[in-house]
Amino acid sequence: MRERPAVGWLEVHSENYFADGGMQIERLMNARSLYPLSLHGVGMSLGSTDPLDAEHVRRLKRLVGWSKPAFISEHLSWGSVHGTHLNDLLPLPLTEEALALIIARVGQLQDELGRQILVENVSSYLQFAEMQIAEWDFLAALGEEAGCGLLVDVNNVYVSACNHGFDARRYLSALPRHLVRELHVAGHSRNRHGDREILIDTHSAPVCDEVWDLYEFSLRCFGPVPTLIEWDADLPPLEVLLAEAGKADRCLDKVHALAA
Amino acid sequence: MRSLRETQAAFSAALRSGDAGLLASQIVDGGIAPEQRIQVYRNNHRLAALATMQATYPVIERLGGNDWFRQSAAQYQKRFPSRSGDLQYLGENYPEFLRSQLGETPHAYFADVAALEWAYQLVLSAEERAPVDLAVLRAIAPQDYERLVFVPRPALRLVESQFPILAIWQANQPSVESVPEIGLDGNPSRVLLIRREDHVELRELSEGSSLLLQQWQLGTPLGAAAAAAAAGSTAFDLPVCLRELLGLKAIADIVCGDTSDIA
Repeated sequence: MRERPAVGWLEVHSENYFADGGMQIERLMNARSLYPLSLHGVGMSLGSTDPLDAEHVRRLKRLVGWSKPAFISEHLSWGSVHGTHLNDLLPLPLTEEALALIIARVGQLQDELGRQILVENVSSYLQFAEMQIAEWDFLAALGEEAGCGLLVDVNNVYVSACNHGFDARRYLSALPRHLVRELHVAGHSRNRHGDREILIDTHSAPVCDEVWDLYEFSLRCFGPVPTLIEWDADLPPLEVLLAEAGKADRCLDKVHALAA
Repeated sequence: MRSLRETQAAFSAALRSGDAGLLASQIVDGGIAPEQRIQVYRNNHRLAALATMQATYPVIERLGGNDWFRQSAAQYQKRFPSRSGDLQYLGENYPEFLRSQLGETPHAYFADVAALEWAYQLVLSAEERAPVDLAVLRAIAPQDYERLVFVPRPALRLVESQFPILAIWQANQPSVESVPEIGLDGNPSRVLLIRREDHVELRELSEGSSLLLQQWQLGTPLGAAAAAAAAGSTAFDLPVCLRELLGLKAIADIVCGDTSDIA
């Protein structure tokens, strides 16, 4: 923050600022006085069959109250059952039952917060045989029915497309433009399993060329949507992060120039 | 087809106990065995918890060594599964777990060091309340002193141990390269952790001040608090302890025992 990097806005994990007070809170207050802010939650467990955690909602609501974020986002995932939290963004079976449940819970959370949230697609490493709805249709239905926006993580689309063999461009093309409010791009790693590999979303590496191509495609689909370089593990020097943000800006300029 | 809740319970069992059979039957193979796909999530689950425990208990990890700590954290995770979507609560019961595991061993002091580290986390994230302005005391008649309730600041904790836990904690900070020999016997510790502007201060309290602060934490008025502290320590000296605790800016408020706020 001392260097005041020339970026348009910042995004933080909501749970890192659930504290009652202290240095972390003061740092975020300082950052918020300098930049617009987006809150990105990882622990709400929107797709869980347990009730929403009232204390978690209360702390998010308190944070939203004082930090006045431009966006509040959560994930298309679940993380708790029978009161036990697994603290991960676990994939949902994409069924009619899951869709009805998450529509209701997103609605409940938005009612509690008194404002719209965005829901982000996650990377997945397995698919359920009982899948009834393609993920892109699931997200579109969620957005339309619950009145939430979508945060499209382009890297997650790429990772899941490679892991499950679907067409990433088809996925992006199927999402309604009016629902998409934010984009993420990030790095990933590759784990070998015999002659096959699983891509893992790690947020610890530069964005690869294929994801930059998909990002350009996303901008053509959704227009000039605010974009975050999501890098929160094995952090590089600030200049590396700013260079990645610069790449995203150049993609935006290029797509704009083509559209003009 | 299983219900969503049944599927989630099977997923939880696969991650927590390694019993992947029930979940694997629901997973598409796609050229990679379902068990291998589930293993990716098992690894993520284990590593996220380990990283949180390492960040919360760095001194315990240094004392026990990385291999021991990994095993201990994994056993703890099984015994005390996370109850919150906020990982910062994950280590809440670790001191209790260590006490149950190591209580009768030469490493019994690990539990108290862990209690110190957990208190450190609580102090870091506690509500901010400024120290009381002691000028308020000038307005109080001496006959009312006994009824005064001293309200400690939320951003402080007191941890007591029969072991020299503060010396152990200090000797196992990352900046300390060679750990000195610390005698465990006959060196009890009463550690006050209190948040300052940009750090958490840890310091030993006298026995009397520790007893008085404990009474204040219970909401006991000054007269009764001093009597209880004197009963617990023959060396208790009220003016000395008051000077120590007020000098440390440990008090957020001073109110009358009848609850009318005078601060």
